Amino acid sequence: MELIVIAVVGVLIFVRLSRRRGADPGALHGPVGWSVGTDWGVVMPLARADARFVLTHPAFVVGVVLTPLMLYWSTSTATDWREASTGTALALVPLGWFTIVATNLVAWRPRRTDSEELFAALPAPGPVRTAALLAAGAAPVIVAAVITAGWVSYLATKDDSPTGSPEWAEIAAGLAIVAGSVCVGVAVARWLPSPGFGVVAAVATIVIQARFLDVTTWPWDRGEGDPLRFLGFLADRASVEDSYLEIRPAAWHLLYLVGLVVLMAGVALARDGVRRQAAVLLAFASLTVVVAGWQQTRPASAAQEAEMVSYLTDPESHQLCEEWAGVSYCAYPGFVADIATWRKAVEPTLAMLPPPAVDRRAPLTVRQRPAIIVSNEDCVPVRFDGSLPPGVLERVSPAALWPVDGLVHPAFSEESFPCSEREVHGYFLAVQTSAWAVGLPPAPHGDNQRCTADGQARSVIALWAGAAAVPDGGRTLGDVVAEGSVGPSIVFAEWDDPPMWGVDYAVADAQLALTLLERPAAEVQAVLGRDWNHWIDPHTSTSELAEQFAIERSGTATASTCP
Amino acid sequence: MPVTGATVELSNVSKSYGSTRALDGISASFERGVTGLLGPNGAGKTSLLRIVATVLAPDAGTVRVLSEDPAEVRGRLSIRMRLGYFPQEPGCYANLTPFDFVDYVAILKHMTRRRARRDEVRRVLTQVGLEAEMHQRIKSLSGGMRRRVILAQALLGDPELLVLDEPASGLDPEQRMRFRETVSAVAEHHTVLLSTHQTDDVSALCQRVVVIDDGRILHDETPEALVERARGRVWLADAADPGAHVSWRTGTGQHRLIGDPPPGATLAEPALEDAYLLLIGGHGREPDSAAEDRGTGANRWS
Repeated sequence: MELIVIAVVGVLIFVRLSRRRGADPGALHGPVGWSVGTDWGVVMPLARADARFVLTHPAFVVGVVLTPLMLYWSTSTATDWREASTGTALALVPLGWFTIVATNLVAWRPRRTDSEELFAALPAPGPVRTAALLAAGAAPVIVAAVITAGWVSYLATKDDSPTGSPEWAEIAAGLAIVAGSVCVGVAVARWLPSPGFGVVAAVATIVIQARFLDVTTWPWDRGEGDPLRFLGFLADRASVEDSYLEIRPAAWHLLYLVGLVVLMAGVALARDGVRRQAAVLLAFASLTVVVAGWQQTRPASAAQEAEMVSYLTDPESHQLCEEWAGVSYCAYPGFVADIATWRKAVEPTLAMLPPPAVDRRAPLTVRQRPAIIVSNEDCVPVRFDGSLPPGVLERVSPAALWPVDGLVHPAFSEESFPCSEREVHGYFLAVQTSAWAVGLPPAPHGDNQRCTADGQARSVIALWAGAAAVPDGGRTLGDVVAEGSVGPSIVFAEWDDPPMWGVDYAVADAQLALTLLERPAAEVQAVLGRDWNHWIDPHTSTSELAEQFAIERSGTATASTCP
Repeated sequence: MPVTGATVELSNVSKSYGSTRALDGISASFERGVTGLLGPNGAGKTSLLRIVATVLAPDAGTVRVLSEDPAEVRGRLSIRMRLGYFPQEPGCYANLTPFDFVDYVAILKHMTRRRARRDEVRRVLTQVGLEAEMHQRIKSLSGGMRRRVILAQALLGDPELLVLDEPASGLDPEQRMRFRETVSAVAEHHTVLLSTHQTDDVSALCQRVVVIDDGRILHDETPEALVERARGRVWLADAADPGAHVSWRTGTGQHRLIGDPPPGATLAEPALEDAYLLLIGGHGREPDSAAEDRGTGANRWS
């Protein structure tokens, strides 16, 4: 379908251009182009005047008004500056679309206002007028820079500011896109014979980006980890959620964009003929695009890939560990600050369980590892390993990435409801912790494998303890039952970012846990503490647990695959 | 034959729009002072001025303007640096003020020094009587004032050649007097080509009048000489005469007739308008003026 649309647009452009060329060339004295003695001193005063036209153009004003909203939308959930920086650049893209339209219409202004004949009799040559329009593009870029600087300042000073520090090369990519939009708008006005092509150009850039330069989409369908995606104007972050696992050549990408900007400027200037200045510009830009494009898309070195494989399969060698209240917390270097968040879920959960729950097990280790299924930028579930650089993916297996180790595993990002800002207060990590305490697998392993413990009292205890330990746990568990249930089990089939639970808990068991939450926690703790080993025995049924609390319920079939 | 040293020299210049011949081998030269171009709609006046203003290329013939050849890029640039042009249907940026619009045109005329340019913009706006309106938006101005904005930009830099295509249309009597003052001042030192339908403007301003019809020059001499051609061919009568080329009832109740008077007719003092009407046969031809308008399109120097 896209090809048909593009083909139709191409034909229309061709027809329009053909008609233009169809005028009697013998009678034409072409436009005054490059000429000896051209006064380039006209460019800057003219650019200042043209800049006013661009800045006050309704299309650009709309873009400016939308930009803060886009910045909020694209960075409000960012927890680190890596995400916030790419989100900031992304937010400038719509401003770029509107800038294409605005600059295109400003370039067309003489004809649209019937003043073309008057302007034709004025001496400033075509390349000077084009250069002035291109130079006027500095104004939209400055406006975009000011808005961006304000937003970055806001993000840096707000209470829950992103961790890390701003990645300026990523942010500057957004400004380069605005600059490129100016050049596209001017080039299209210079080459195509109707102001309508400005809008076509804005749409075309979207199609080109979404359908051809983003290699994860049709027709390429390559992995997010494929560095070819950096040939796009703005490359999304891969869903690996850890900058260490992504080769992100931000500086090279910025240079690549700058090359494209200059290339489009050269294309605009070439309308008056490819003379020395335009030829030099086009050659320089082409070289920059090729070199920077090659640099950013070349595969990772074998050493880099080996280091990434080790990073994933031998986390002990890379993580930093801290011990708090007898629990060992291990995080990758960029995530050490998250340990404090993890503790807020783990420690109350352990405290909710009777002392034997902890005393009789080996010391707990909370070790960070990637989730098996992660949400990409568009809230679509993708496999984590599919987002790895191809060379790394070849060298790791699911079994090596997610071994059966019985540990609690927080992921790279805080788990939540699908693409939701709903706060769960660490409930999913809390259930992992309680699952560990009752002897159930805390986290999935291998190829997203989870077991079932339907009808086992310990599964109810795990769900109850996690919910009782964190704020609003009961409400969160209720929401999980409502949104994660497929048939009799909670399997999160519709979730784009399923929690790292090692068990597909039964809905009936979750409902019993919800009933238990209505009882005072002390009462439940007292019952469990009297015979902890009995309650966590895989053979102890949920019916027995219900009877203990005088809860009437129909029997639950046991169908356990958990060890 | 072209006169050496003239500001504008045309030799056998022709221009066609499809099958319509707008100019048919015109030869003329224009020097310092005001030359008026008279002719019915579609006669070829605008095509002639567009060629002189370098926005249109002739199909045949040679053109020299300010001793430069507009067919060459350098020549065209040189002409445009020294030219002031008022197109027949001028548009402008209505959202701007007269000051900003004329300032923008001044930049395109290579006036890059900001202070000097702004002084010049003020000068020309004052010269056309827009000193009080120079900071109002153009879209809030009357049609006559807008035409004065266009006239102001044409005056930028004291051009050696001023090409004015019907600049006085829509001006009220006071504005027209001011317009005459402005143009006559420029013409003291420079060349002005003025296309108009206002014969009184030609009488008041022009040292020379060229009457064009059907792409050819019918008359090229002083306004006085043209008027003399009508002497003895304008008369007054109590009733219309079917033998007259043109006649109309005047405010006194008498008829003014132009043509060959009957014996014993009461002759009247001829005016330029009478001579003009007599010259073109007493009919205002309305040919394919759209064809001439097409000159804004393909066959243009820019």
